[in-house]
Amino acid sequence: MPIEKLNPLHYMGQAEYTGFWQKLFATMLYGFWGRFFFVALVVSAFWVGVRQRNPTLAAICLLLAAIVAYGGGVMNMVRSFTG
Amino acid sequence: MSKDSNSSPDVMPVPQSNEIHPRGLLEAISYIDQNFANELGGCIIKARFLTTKQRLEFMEVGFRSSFASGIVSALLTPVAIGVIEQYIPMFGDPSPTFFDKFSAFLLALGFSLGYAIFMAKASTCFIGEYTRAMVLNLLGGMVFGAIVKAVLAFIAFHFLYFKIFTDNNVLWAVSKLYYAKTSPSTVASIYYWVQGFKGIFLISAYFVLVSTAVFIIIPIAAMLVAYFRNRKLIAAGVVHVDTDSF
Repeated sequence: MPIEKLNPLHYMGQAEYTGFWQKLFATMLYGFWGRFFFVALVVSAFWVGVRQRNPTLAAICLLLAAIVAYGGGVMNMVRSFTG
Repeated sequence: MSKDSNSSPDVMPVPQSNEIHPRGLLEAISYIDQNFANELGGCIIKARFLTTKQRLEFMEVGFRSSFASGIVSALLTPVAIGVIEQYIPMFGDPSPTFFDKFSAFLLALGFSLGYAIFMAKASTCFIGEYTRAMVLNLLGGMVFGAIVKAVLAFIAFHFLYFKIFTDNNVLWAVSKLYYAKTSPSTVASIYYWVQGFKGIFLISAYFVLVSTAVFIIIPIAAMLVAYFRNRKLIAAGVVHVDTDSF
């Protein structure tokens, strides 16, 4: 069935698949890239909100910045509870 | 729809739809911008053209938007102070660097700061009586909203510290974790974390007062700068406005 080809486990193992997502989150939420995305989102929020006068988009950028900033901590906490 | 010119009076009635009724901040600012451009072009409109209902609408818009942005900031303040006091990790790092602490504050104050700069920009767009009345009412509502938010946040943080996070309540809540098969060491660490963190609510209560003062000062300072700019423009004869307003 062609629909089954959408299943990523068709192409890779489960460990490789979960490893991919863990690496993606670790890249986005920790260290240099986490800080980089945070700064980019906050600057975008100010630019969009004040300069382009679009407060809704600015609020979305700030929300994403908050997720990037505190997401790593939340993931650590979840990991410590789930072992 | 033509009429006989002899029978019609020489009065142009203003249709009801031409009255301005700002429903949101952007709409209010666009009305101010539009009328500011008119006044700069030499149009003289008396402040009384802004009716009491419209003044209240400008005030309401200012109140609503400042209150909403203030609540977001107030909610993020304990988190930001939690980062500085090393209770909450930022970017997954339990020991924050100077950049991390600065980022936490930027995030907590970002919404209010952006809003204050936005309002500061709008509050410079007045020169005659009409736009001045609009700006004053919008800023009045904004200041009122900010003060109400600060008072509510101050009371709420004190309530959390003195009534919700009491030793008995914390002990009761943490003891329930034993039902979820949590290990005693984890329960103890959660208990000490909550006991340490609750002090942050008191710091946050006073921090919200300070940040609200800054939030109010930014647009008012911009308005004062615009006031002196207007005086110079009028004295130089660049702009002609009704002198009653100055």
